[in-house]
Amino acid sequence: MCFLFSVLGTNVANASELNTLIMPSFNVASDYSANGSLHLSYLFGEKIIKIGPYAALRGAYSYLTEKAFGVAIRVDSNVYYEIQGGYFERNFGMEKTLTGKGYLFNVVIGKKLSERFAASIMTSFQRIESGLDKRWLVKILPYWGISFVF
Amino acid sequence: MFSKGCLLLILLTFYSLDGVAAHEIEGFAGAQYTSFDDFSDYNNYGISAQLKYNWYSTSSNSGYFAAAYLDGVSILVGDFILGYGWRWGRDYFFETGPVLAYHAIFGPGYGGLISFGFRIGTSTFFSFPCVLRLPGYFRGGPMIGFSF
Repeated sequence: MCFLFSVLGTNVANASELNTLIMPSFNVASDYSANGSLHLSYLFGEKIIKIGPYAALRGAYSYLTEKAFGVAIRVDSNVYYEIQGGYFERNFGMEKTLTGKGYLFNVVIGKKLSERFAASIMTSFQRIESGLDKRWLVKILPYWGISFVF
Repeated sequence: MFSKGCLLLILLTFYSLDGVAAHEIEGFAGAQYTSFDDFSDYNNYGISAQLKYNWYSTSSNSGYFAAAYLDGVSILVGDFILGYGWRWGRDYFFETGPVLAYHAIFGPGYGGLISFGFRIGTSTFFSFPCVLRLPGYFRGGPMIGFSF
């Protein structure tokens, strides 16, 4: 605990950074499906280690949504590594909505392509413990990253 | 008749590649695996990919492109597209052109592509191609692109 306060005390400054990872897509064929995913992390710190809250929202098809919130920790450099983890919820709605609850953690490896944009690969490990059939979901996807510094 | 037209377009494509100055590749791919605790028979995995290769002349800012939309059902079930595109802009660009396509399920088809994107480096860019394909679909999704 003391070590954690020490790190935050020396590093929290004006260099807060809001990072978004965005992946929208859509497909209209015999029926309509759209897949949009947004991962947000708001990181504090001027040094190489940054930490902050994390939230995610994903909509896939008209009956499936996922959301998550927790903490993100990043080792920040031109090539950066970030771990995001926390509570995970998956809502499946056809005739009635079923809600699966559990947890997730994401491993992100990214490369900054400019001051504001990055490309990254996210490996997501999602666990549903209740509400739906217990399962592990593992996904690997590339993301666009856009960062805002304020 | 239609398949002979596709073959002719493919042959013309390769014949006209001499002198093309810029090559670009755009892509997007993903994979997933689901493992159920109590119903292992329902475990499943999938891989999907979207790829686009451009032979664009830097002087005319136009050229042929080839694309593949692989939906993850199997490596053979995908839409293979050939088209000709025109692009406007450099740092922020808009791109459009007609396409011919062949799909293992939908069969041959035609349509058009529109895309917009922006450069984030000297040889990297983000793009968002959208394809209207008849018969079949209207779809769009992000890609990351590299020029070389």
